[in-house]
Amino acid sequence: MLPAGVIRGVPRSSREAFFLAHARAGDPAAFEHLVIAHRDRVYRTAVRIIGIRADADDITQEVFLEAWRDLPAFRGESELATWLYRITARRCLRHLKRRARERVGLAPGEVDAADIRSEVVGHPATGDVDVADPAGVVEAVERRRLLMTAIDRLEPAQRVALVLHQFEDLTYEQTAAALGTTVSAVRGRIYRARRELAKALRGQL
Amino acid sequence: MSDQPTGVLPCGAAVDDLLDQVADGNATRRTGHQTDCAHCRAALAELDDLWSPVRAYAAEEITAPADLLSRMMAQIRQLTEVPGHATFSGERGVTRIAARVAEVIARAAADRVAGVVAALGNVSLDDGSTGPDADAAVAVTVVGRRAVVDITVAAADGEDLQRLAGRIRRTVAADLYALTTMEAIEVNVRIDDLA
Repeated sequence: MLPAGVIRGVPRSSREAFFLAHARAGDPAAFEHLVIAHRDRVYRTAVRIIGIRADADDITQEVFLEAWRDLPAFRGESELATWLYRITARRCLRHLKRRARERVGLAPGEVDAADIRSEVVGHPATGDVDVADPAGVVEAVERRRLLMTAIDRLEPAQRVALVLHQFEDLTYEQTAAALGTTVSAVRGRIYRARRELAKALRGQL
Repeated sequence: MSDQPTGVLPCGAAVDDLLDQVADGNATRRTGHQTDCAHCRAALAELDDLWSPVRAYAAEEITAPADLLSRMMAQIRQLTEVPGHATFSGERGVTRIAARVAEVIARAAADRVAGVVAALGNVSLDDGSTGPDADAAVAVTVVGRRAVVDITVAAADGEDLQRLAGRIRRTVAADLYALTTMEAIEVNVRIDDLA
């Protein structure tokens, strides 16, 4: 794990501090630099939590619009990335709750097809399979399907904690900070989420 | 996929603990016991294989759509750009001051200067916009908090006009800053009449 206060790929650079100061003063050109630096992180996190790329696109826009609006109040007590993770997590949780209310969640076994294929073909858009082991491809696709379905079935709070820690490489402490909860709560959620994934990958769900 | 270890191994090791070890990326960092224990080594290998789709998904590059940035920034710029206004962002919100407000301040300031009989003013913000008739198509490259002031006055007969212009510049710039924190980067004085 990375040392506390350091998030993968996010050094606290003077360059970021410069753009942050100008963006806080209301300069959209400076904010654009921050968006460029963090857009993939926010989008990727939303994709992994929500499972549908079009919705992740909407959430990414919402996150940065909220960040722009609230930036003057951002005091830099946490890393900008942690703050953005916090907004992303809150937006994703809200989205998942709304989806649950509207009963438009993914049906069991139904996940974004691009996310299933991409593991084995490397290019989600084409669907081409170019490997020498067709049986291996079938198994890999099946395991990916099991994984995606299992992630989609996790309780929202578990899912968000798992994505931040397991996929975004945040420490337990950073995950807790991003979710506004305790480290022990985060540990519990990730513990349970991992076991759910393991059960699913064993074909036991 | 169904022959994976669960529960407690014959050696007493909990499979849950081994799963966390694998999920944390430490499958090959074995403890002393694990190095000597065939059950643990086998379970770790099985769990490592079980967890491989998670690792693959974690390693997968997921990037934002290419046009997301431009779509997002278009919305943000739309929020920011109010032609004919200087924008001040504070911790509790944004303040925008219309150029015509600055114009009134500048005119009143010039009017107070000894030797000025009457003043007319026009203020353009540094985004290129002017007063209420601002051109919305002007591109904003900096925060609009600096102003160019064009002021036209009628001077009292017998005044030293160069000195009068200097007094007008200082007074207008000082009042504008004091009341709005707008910086008058230019105060252009046109003396149009003597009275």
